Amino acid sequence: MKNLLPFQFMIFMYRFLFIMLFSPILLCAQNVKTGSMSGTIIDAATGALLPNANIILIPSKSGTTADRNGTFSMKNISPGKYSLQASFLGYKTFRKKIEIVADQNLVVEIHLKDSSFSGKEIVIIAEKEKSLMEQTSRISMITADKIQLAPVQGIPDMIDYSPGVSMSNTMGIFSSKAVVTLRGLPSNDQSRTLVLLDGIPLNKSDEGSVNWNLLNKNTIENIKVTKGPGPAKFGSGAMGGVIELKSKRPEKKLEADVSLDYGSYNTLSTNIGVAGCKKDSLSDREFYWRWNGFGRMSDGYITLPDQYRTEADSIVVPVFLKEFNTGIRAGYSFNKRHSVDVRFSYFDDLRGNGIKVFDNYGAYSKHGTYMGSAAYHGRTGLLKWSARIFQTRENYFRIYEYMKDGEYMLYGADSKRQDAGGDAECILQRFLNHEITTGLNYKQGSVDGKDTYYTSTDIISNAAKMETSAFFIQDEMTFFNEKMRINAGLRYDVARYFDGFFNIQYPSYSLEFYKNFESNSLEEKNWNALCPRFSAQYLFSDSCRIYASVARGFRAPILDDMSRTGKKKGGLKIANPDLKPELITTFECGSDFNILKKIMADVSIFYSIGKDFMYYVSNGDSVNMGYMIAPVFQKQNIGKVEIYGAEAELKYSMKDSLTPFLNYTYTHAQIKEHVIRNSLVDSSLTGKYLTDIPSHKISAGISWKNKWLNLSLSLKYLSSTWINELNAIEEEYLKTDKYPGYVTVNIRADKKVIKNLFVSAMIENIFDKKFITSDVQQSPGRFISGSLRYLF
Amino acid sequence: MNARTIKSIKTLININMKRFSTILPVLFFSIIILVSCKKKEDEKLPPAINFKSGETYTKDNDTVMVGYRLSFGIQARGTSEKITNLSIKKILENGTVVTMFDTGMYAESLDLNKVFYQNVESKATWVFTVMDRNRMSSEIRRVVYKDLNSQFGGINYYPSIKLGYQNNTTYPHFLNPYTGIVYPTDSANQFFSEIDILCYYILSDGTPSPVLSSPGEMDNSSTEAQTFYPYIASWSTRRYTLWDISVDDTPVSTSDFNAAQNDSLLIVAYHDVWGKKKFRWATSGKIIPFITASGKKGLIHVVNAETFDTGIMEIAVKIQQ
Repeated sequence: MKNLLPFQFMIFMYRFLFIMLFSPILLCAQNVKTGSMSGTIIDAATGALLPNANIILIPSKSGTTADRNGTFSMKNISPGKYSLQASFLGYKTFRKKIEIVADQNLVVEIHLKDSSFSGKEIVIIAEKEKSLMEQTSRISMITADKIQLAPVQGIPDMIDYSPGVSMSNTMGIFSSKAVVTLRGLPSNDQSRTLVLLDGIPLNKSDEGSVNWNLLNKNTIENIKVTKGPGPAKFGSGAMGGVIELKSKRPEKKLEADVSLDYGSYNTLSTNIGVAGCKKDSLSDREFYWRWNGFGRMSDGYITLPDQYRTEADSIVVPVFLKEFNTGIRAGYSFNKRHSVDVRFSYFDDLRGNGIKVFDNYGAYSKHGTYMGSAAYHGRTGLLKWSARIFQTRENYFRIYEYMKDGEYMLYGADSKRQDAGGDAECILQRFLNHEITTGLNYKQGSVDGKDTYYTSTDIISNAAKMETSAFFIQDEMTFFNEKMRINAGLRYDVARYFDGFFNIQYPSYSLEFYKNFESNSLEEKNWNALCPRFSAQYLFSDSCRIYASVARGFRAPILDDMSRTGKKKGGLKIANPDLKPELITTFECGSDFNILKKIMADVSIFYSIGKDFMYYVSNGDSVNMGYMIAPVFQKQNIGKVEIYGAEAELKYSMKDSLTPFLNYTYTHAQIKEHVIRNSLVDSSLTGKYLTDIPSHKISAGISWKNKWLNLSLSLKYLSSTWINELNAIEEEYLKTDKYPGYVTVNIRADKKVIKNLFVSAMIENIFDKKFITSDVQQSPGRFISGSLRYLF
Repeated sequence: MNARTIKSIKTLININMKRFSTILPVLFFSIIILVSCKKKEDEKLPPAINFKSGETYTKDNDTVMVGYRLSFGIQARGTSEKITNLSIKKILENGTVVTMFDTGMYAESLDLNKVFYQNVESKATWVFTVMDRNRMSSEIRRVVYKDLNSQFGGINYYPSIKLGYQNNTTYPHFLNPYTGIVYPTDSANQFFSEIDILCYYILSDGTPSPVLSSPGEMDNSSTEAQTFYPYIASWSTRRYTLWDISVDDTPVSTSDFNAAQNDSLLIVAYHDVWGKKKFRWATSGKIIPFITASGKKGLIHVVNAETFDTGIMEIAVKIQQ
């Protein structure tokens, strides 16, 4: 013994203790006679073997899972009578009484039946997720795997690789107001694309904007991008489509995700997530919870393009950022039929706006966002229903500080934004060949804002409320053994604008003109619209289909456009309390097919015509703001807008480890008719192109997963976009009428270092292309970051 | 519950009471300190402001002839926060408030002299207000009366002066409005101390914009004049003219301009608070009030302004003698 090395001695001691502790148990076990069971799981309809089905013996609660060939085996089962239960998504649970006899192997063959309606059977226990090919619209799905491997940091950047997506304020993590829109709608206005997080709308009623920064990509399971007005359940705001983000649900008893990132511009971020799940497979009860915290800080970079910076721009400073986000979620499934989910999150940030003259932080913006929601899901027989309530409060504060022509200005904008509402939905599934969905949704949004000036006496206040509600019904019918699918829906939207006012207190000489726009009680407005939706598709095979759809989308104006008069970059934006909702009718058709054996292609073309389209118009007026004669802008219902385009995507599925993609988007967005209000001052926009929409966009990428290293490479090309509504030359900086097109290339490498520990390195914008985004801001250029992540 | 358990509980309570009696005073004093700190933090005091004393300054209840100089010396200091605004307003007898000066700043203290010129009102209460970053303010007042013997002064009138824009090689760019003399580049470099007005042409916010300005523009956070006429940077005197940019809201009619025989219109047409360093969009037909560095008020009628950088601007000038 003395000759043994300490390490070997420890191993010896462990083995000795293990034998001492467990030998009685092992001995006892050897004395008990047991039986075993093995078998196969088969699709009753097709005869195909079903992998990964769950097999449980009741009351022993022991169980197993079928392997990839659909076979399973269980050993050391105590002799006795059991209830054998086998279940699999999309199939009815199989139950059979069996008896295990000592020293014998029971062989069973389990035939699982599809859970579709048949005869007297009315209980549907499991449900198959509809594949993208089974949905009569064009959908891009970004899975958790893709999210984690994507060589970008922000969620909007990730979505932007999908065809048919446009994005503005593309400053990566430094964007405070990134906008993602779909189907050729101007990417300077988020209010036409509905964004949902687990069904909760993230678009604020005040501006229609979405604070993408409060989303933590480590907590997102998948992102579903439905293009076009789509299903009837999506209403006001879903003109261009819907972006649905689904949160991850814990699957293990205890899991954790801790990461630390460091990158360019002294950017440090950390994420901590802890989650757990407790399942009782016998009663189907399940409790899960998740807590997540995320923090990031960065020195930032200067957004004023290098070429336009002069020595006089000493007030130009980097757009620093500090942000923090935490959230907790818990859910409980009473059984397979009833479940509840509650969550609460808080987000806080401080972002420099790139100017510092005198004040502590210079110009900056700050959000304090509280989100809370509760959801209930239930099902019985053919019925499935859900109800959800939510509330979002955002305390938005922004300091504006600048020096213009020697005039110093400092003021703060303080807005309390609130959105609360709920929805209820009921689905009658597999009723003959119908799936009927009906529901209601309601949302009330409000804003209470105040601009307080420190360099003058002015205090400007605005407030307003918007109520939107809708009823919808949709019937999805299948024919010819589900090869043909027809979806017909009808949606009735009602919107009410009320309690609006705008006023100025203690006006100084330079803002006295605001008194012209004062109103202590803006007129209440009521609107309604009936929006039919129809789509049909024919599925030739699992990989080939054609579809066509026509849908009408409705959008009520946003509060900011109706109630607030205030400064806008390059001028003054005045409220338009007479705004009306806009309507867009979209026709679309498309196809999915195999080009070669492993190359999948999909193509869509669409044509949209917008009526009463809301658009910023420089109305020819100007106001004297002291330091400048500022042009006046107003959101107006300009008339008709025509948008058409095409999308095509190629996906090559060589094998799971190698997934290349290539897509192309063409968009034509033009004003067909501008109804001039005042011919003396209005400039006609008829024939002008919509701003912020590239005509051509190409995205391509490849992910290669292997046991040594996971690699992702992506490329994006965007053609030029019009700078302003008049398609006129921008005189201050660019001296041209279009933002130039650009190409960016990103790369990311991930490696598992040791068990549960991963390192990754990423270079965004490898070639350091400093392209100019809307509002004449430049992108961060090359951004290099490294990450250490621990998962268990 | 037996006696032993009760005894244990009592012991525990005693121990905790002892601890509590130790903690309580500490807690009490901590709260006192915290509250007093908070109170100190919350205590916001308004800025201080006072008039400077001296013979050169206009005194309370002074009587001044129309068009004569009013001089005010002001000192101010932020008490809790930086001073962010100074405004000077005139309250007339009928209650009308006229803003004479209103500017943003970010300063711990302020020491400045402001010069205005007596207008036609018989009595005006001048109110000087400073506001700080907390929006707390303080004010001081002076009452000034018009001298009843006031008479309107004479004017000089030059009905047609042609100035060339920066790329015009035929017409001079610079003007002395008192004499009506225009200066080409060579003589401007010699007589820079006589020059109050210059012009150039730009595209401003995408719109053609003839601009009236002065050599002093470059000393006041603007680089356009210096860009087009770089040699003014070497002038030892750069005179600074202020242009009333509120003209678009309160225009003077051409008939009023033509009818003006004395300086009464010139005096009332100029609004001090709207006096800025340059006048953009000086397009044909506009009548623009201005005040020169020496306090002379005037009106320029833009007879014709061409909209290309080699063009000319034809103006008519009326100025106080």
